[in-house]
Amino acid sequence: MKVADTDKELVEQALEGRVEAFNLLVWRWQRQLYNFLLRFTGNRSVAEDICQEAFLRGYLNLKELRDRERFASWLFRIAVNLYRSERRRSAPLPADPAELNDCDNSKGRAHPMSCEMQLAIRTLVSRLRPELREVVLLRFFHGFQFDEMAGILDCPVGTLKSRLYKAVDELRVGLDGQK
Amino acid sequence: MNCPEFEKLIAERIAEELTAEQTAEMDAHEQSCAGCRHALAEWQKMQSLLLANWPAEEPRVPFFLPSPTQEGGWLEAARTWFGVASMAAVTGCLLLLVVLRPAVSYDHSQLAIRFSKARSGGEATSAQAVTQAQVQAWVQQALQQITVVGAAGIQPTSGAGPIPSDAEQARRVTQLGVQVEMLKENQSALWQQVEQHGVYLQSSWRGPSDQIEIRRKRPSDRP
Repeated sequence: MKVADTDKELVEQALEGRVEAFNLLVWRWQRQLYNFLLRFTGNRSVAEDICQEAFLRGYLNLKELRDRERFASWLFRIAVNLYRSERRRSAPLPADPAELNDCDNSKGRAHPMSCEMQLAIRTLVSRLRPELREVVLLRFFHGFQFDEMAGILDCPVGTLKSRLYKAVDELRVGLDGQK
Repeated sequence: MNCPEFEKLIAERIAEELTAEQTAEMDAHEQSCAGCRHALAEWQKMQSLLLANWPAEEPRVPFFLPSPTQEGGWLEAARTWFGVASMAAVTGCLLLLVVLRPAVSYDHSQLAIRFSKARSGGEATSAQAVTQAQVQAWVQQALQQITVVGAAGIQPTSGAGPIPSDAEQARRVTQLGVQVEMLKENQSALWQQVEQHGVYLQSSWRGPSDQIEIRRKRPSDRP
């Protein structure tokens, strides 16, 4: 297997029955997906469970992926749907405050932020309504474009833009309140 | 371009999804409008603040799929993956694993199984039965070593994009993971074969060459 396989090539190899090709896709995307879910749910265990389930379902349903270049969007969509199903079935998934407080002040970062600011940002994001939070996470943290987000969230681009504007307004107001 | 039009495009501007023409129009308006310049800067600042204050972390566990999931169970899955010939090789190795009690080690991403030429003094030993517990213990020992080395030595890549230099290592770990699962599946299946067909595994150690005998099981031979 070549090192610089694209997602599309890896999907095609996985469809031929090579689990190692799919595991390379896992390797490539697990950090992104896990952190999206962690920031979205605020709970490591929940994020891990949904992440694992999303990869498994992705593997089992890989044949249904039509645009093989868009594996990541498709995978994130599976994860979002899993989260939504879980939320519909039971009470809102509990965020773990201790995990929100898990401040990263690691040395060596170019501009280490204060723990207070980290906590403030995390708390503000976690308090956004889910439909606003998911747009903020996908756009700002994970760099998805609007048409990709539309596929992931099953929502028109115009609506997503409105939500992003609203989310940014709420975050700005929240940050101003911190000063 | 007027202010409302500028504001409507800020999100796309931040996402770098505008055409060159739209970007030029925004640039021109931005030069002449302090309010819109400020609005754009606020968005850019917000994006930077978010990213700087909620760094990504590594997953506590990798999410690799350990083995192919097929309805036919391990045997059909193994046939699909390795082919019948490879299955024979795997089974042969497992037989050696059972009979020769190899020393298992893990070095430079390679699982090594060493078979002793002879025991101390090269004395022949009598036929020796191997219990299922022993087989499981050996395989578990190998699994633990792989887990320890794999957890300590592998750093996942950061985010999406082309896989950097450790891709080869990732591939090896992935393959090892598959092999480990095969071992786990096969250790119980192998023992079932031994029990089902009444084969009694026996080893003897004679000088420089080892001889392995597989005999029909007698009642008195049962482990």
